[in-house]
Amino acid sequence: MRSKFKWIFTLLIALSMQLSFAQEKTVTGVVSDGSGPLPGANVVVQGSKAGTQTDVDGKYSIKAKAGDVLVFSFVGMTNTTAKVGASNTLNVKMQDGVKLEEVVVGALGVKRKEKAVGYAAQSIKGSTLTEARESNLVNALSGRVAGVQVTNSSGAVGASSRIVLRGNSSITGNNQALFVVDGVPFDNTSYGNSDSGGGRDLPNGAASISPDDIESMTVLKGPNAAALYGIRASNGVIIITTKSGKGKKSLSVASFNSNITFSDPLVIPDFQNSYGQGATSDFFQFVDGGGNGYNDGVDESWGPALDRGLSFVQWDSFKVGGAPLPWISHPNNVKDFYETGVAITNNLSLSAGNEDANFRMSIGNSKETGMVPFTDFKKFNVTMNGNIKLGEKLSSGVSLMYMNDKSDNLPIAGYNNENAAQQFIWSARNVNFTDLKDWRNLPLAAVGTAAEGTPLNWNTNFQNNPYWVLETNTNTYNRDRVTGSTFLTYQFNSAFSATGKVMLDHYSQLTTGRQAIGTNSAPDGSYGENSLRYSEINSEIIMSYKKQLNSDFNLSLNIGANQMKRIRTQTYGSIPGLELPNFYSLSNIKTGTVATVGNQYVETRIGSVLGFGQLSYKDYIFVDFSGRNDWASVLPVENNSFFYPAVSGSVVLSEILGLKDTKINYLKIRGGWSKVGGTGALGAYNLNNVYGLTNNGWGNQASTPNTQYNPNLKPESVVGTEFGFDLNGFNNRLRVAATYYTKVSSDLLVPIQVSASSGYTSVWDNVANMENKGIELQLGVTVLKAKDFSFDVDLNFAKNRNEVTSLGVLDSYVLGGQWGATIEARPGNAYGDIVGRGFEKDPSGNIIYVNGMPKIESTKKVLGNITPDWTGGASFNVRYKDFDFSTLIDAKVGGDVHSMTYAWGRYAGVLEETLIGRETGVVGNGVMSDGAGGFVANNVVVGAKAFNQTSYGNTIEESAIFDATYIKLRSLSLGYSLPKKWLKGTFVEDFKFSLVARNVAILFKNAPHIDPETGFSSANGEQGQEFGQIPSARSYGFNINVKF
Amino acid sequence: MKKISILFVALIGLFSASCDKDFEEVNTTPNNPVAVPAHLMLGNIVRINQNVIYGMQQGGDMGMCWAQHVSKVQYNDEERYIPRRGAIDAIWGTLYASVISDAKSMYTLAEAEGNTNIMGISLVLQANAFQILTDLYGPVPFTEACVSGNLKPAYDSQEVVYTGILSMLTQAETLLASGTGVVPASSDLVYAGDASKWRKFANSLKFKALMRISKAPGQSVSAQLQALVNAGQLFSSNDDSAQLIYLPAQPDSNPIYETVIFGTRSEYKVTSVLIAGNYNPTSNPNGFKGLTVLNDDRKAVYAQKNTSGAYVGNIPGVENPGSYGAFSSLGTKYLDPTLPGVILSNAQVQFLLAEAANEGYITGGVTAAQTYYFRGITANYEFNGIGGLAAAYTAQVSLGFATQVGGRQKIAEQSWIALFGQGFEAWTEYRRTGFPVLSAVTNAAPGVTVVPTRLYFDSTEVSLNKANYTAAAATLSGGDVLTSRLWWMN
Repeated sequence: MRSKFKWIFTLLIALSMQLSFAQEKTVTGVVSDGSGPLPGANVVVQGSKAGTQTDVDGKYSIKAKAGDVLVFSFVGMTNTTAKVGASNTLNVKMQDGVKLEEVVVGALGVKRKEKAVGYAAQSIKGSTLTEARESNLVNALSGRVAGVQVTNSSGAVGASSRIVLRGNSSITGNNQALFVVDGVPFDNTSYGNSDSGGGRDLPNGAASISPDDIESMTVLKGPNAAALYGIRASNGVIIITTKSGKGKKSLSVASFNSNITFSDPLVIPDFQNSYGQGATSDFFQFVDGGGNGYNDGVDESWGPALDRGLSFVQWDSFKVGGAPLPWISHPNNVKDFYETGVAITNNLSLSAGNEDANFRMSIGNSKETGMVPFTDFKKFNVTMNGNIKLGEKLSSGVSLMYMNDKSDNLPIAGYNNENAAQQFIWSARNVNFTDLKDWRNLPLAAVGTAAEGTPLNWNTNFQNNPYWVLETNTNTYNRDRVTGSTFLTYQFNSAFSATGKVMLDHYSQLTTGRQAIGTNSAPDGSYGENSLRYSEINSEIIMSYKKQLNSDFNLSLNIGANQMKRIRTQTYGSIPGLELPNFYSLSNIKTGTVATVGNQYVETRIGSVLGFGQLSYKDYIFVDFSGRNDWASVLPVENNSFFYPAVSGSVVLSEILGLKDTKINYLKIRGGWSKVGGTGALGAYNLNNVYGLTNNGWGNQASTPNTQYNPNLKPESVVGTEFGFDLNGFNNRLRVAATYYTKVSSDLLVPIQVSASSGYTSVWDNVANMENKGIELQLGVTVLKAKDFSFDVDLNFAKNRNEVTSLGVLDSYVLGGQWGATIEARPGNAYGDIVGRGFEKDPSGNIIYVNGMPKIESTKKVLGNITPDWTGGASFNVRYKDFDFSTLIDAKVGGDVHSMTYAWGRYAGVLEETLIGRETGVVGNGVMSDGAGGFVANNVVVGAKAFNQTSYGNTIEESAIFDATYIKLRSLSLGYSLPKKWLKGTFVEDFKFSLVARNVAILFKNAPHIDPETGFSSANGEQGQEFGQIPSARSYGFNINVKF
Repeated sequence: MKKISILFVALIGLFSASCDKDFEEVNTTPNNPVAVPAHLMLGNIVRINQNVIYGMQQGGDMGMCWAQHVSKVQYNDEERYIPRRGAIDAIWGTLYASVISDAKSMYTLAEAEGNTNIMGISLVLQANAFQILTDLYGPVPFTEACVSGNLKPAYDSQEVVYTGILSMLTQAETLLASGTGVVPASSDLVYAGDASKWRKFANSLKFKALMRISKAPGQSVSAQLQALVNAGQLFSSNDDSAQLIYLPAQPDSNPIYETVIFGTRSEYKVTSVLIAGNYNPTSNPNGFKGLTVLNDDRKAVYAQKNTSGAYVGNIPGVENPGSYGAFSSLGTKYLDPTLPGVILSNAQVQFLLAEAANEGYITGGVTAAQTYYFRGITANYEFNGIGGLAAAYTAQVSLGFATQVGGRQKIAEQSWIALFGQGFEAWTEYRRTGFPVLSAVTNAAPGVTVVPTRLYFDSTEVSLNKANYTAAAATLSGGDVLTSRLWWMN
């Protein structure tokens, strides 16, 4: 890299020397806007590096020669140019309203003036993504955009995140937005296998995109905006535009960004520190940790009291010849287990351009180590794009991104004894876990215990040494991805052009998983590999016609076609036991066992023809219309052609009514209607009636599928309607946008669960309907704007009301669940009911106790719902001289979470609440029978252990359901840019140093012990549930950005 | 310009594949077969059936624990009659959607192939699965079960189900008696392709079904039982036993091993009832005296010594989480990966013959009953690898009986001992005969005062098949609860 800088440096010096030979004079002047002189405006000589800023009185002074063009710019204003003439004075009046000319990138990458857009679209600039950065790009959208709900699964490196726009619109589809990068549909699948029962989460596809390469992200929230994506549009679209060399007039920019952050756990459960391991509090003796001592096989903390001078033989007594050791608390034993995560990201980019061609390339890498020991994640990416005019009428371009994501080990989550957090819940509060770290020098677990032959642990019954597990049982991930496109545009004449474009998204990934011999869940060890290849090619051609019909009317018309071909192949193998220890290869299969091997080839295609256009009147009334017909291969041939129309319009009232010079700068009303589609979870070959083959120790066996095929399916449809307005006032210092929308989904495809006695457990059918209605509000206020100081507040709010309006023949559809709780879709309720067993209650709602224990209902019922009531964000940006400060607060209010950390934590006696009544007993808060058909206050004292184990655990769900509301201080950044005058004469154009922090604090929450933003993965059925959460990460560090 | 036109023509060519002409072909799976020979389904049906019945969450936590053969020193909710609904649902779902449904598919395939042997085998396996279902749940879908197009099958009374089961087995006997068609040994995990053994199994299973309903209201089974005895097609040696021999390596090993040893759940112990009995001259005068008092050699096979070298069973329902080592684990034979998953044993058939003779359903009276009874004990001793000790054991005067009443309890108790390891069958036979005399476990769930008599219906039925579920639950004495009486209960 260094040599390149040298080269740029040399070039810059050469350039500045050249300038010094030119005939220069000093031009002075005053820059003003409607309200007076404008301090802090930038003034540069076009095509050169020379630039200055206006002073307090709006005055500037710059060296230029006659014929030079000066460019004046100021945030919130339209750039103004003026040619230097004979005069040495040049006064300029700037116009408000960069906002008015803001460009919105719409479906198929079509750029539109903001005022011509008939739907709500919100964009995020790339610069907000890079400072207080997230390793998963999707998380950066949290709280920024009204109507976007982001859920980060956990604080594990490589964790997936879920992004839903305007509520879930399908029962079984993934419900997540379609990602499109520079026109290329970008697969966002997460291939993790984590769920409530364990497994390894893997990042969603979009997490690979480097934020350093992003110019902007535009969120097309609803079907109206996304209509041109037809059958793929039902969940909205995130359009990512990468940076390019466009608009650069020379080899103008080389940029280097470096970001270093450190992370630690944001939330750790509040544990009790008064009682140690055991099922009984009388005595403890460690013999083998497997139950042959006294209380030593127990993974609960109902044992003897800590810090009272007791000594017992414990797991680490071997260090003192088997003598008793003090029975004491280690309040930070869990916190100390987690390490400080470190993330280092570097990116270098070069861009250049002129009127005929432009080019940008960037190279970046990041290396992250997790808070969970021995976990990491690395990324490397190279991006390049270029556009060139090949002649008067022909232009072409190419863009290419290469991304490599890699991990040597990703942690196991969920209810699984390889998730270290599990042994902090099923746990012994007297154990100092970090003492287990040096496992290579620990004795081995005793013969006959479950952990036999592996390094000693405090419990050898249900757990292995957690450090040994993490260092030995590694789960690797490696993905190479190439996406890109190339296009050719021919401009036949001023009205007619045609563009052909080919887009590719391709990746291949390998995941492996190791389990050493002696692992609790795999005593013989295991090894597995999964190799996957994915490619999607879209070929597209679009003919465009633009014509000014007369002085008032403009028309544009486009017709085109697209063909999508997607192929995913997978080859996997796993062996259920190892012959030789510590050797991980599929050939090392334990004698007598049978390997699982398989492969899959999945091809899907969508063919489309489409047309869209716009008719505008006098640049203030705009009508957009589009239609797309899709043919999808996953559907029955006789029923696979579907037409998706859309129409929207906008009226710029401020121009019609001539409000330009009033307090109202801009007022636009907009609205639209559209119909789009989806195929839910229906995949390729779901229409085929086939047999399954299983090879096992007896040989090959055939079986029939449990899901019945149905040849009469059609796609899901979503009809969207929206209305709204945008209003700017007070010199654009007040910015308001409001949208009301409805989204009606019908014919939703569901493999409906049927009574198993039918011979099937499910049958595919178009049975369900769902509705979303909501409002989105944005409010921006420039509280202060002065030369040295500005203060901006941006608020967004979204309320979405979701209702499953029909499930056809079904009363409920189970999406997922853990233990006794299920996450379900039920008619009349919002998507994601939490269903489980509740306490029996008297007519006044008090829990009924019998013999001091709560009565538990035998029938399950709805106990909560995972859907939030509203989401919102508030960002505050302050600029003072060369300092800027910004912060984001992100709120998700309402919705519930079912926490098995709480349920098992109380059952196992590790949470601080379990201290209540340990010595004196517990009287449950509620009533008991008065023997005469009525109720009196419960007064029966029961033991704390029995009470906790009856009221919490896996036989009652109601006691573990909490409000999932959170308000988070999502990001903070304090930046300092070196003043331009200091940099004058150096090769550095900009230098900015920022202190940054993400997920700084949870300002408010109701769910105890956990971060309520959680999920076992990004899948539908894994939301609103928690157990053994890998803590979310609070990260802090700094960012350096240098432009040359 | 010409070059450009060519370029565009080429681009348009990319779309030349018309939009749906070959979509049907595109959407035809290359990953799964669309046709298979009938026999290839046989192994899977047997394997799936046995895995769910012997799964420790099912046959262990409910079957073995409720039969009071086994007790858990920790995590004993199910033992205390707070079962996991998911574990119960798994039996229903597996037996219907994977066993019966596949057996029906196998029948159809075999019919097309003209393989009457496999047709007969299919009926035997269906009858076995339906009997397990109705014995566990009570009324269950039978006539409308696994019938294409019916997504909400009605439940049938147990009487209707049993009539159906008997008719299936009669049909199976007919098919197998003159069977044609090869049953490849590699696909037949039970009898390695010996159709004559399947015929014996069909008849023995029918004998078991008849005995199960022998005391049900309005049933007269005597003639049918005698006919089966006369036909001479019942099990007569342990070689006839229907069982799946599990393999040494998981996941194809016995589920008991897979959970207790491989899954390291060492909280499973034998009960004090099994070892020391629950007999008490005053409070339980008809109680079981225990293997120790009976001088039963199977004690050392069923249980291991505790860390102090003694056979100590855990009191059912009592947790002793602090000290796993103080109680006897299951014997090594029962924790072995290759322990057979018994479908129907010769020993059980002998005990049923003994009972039939003792009750006068078949000829021979008490004398024949005792002969069959000793045969049953001997067969079970052989199964346990201690056949040589059987003669001395049965020679004990205390073991024999001379009266119908004495025989009734002794046959049932010996049958219960012999069914160790077959959790659900042991519990079911206890529910039918009432022997050994068991009481609800200590610390039983509030409101449960007796050993459960059935399982809850599949928990999804209430939403997926509501009307039929509600109607069926209404026919049960206490509704869909664990203690509703079944039709055939004594």
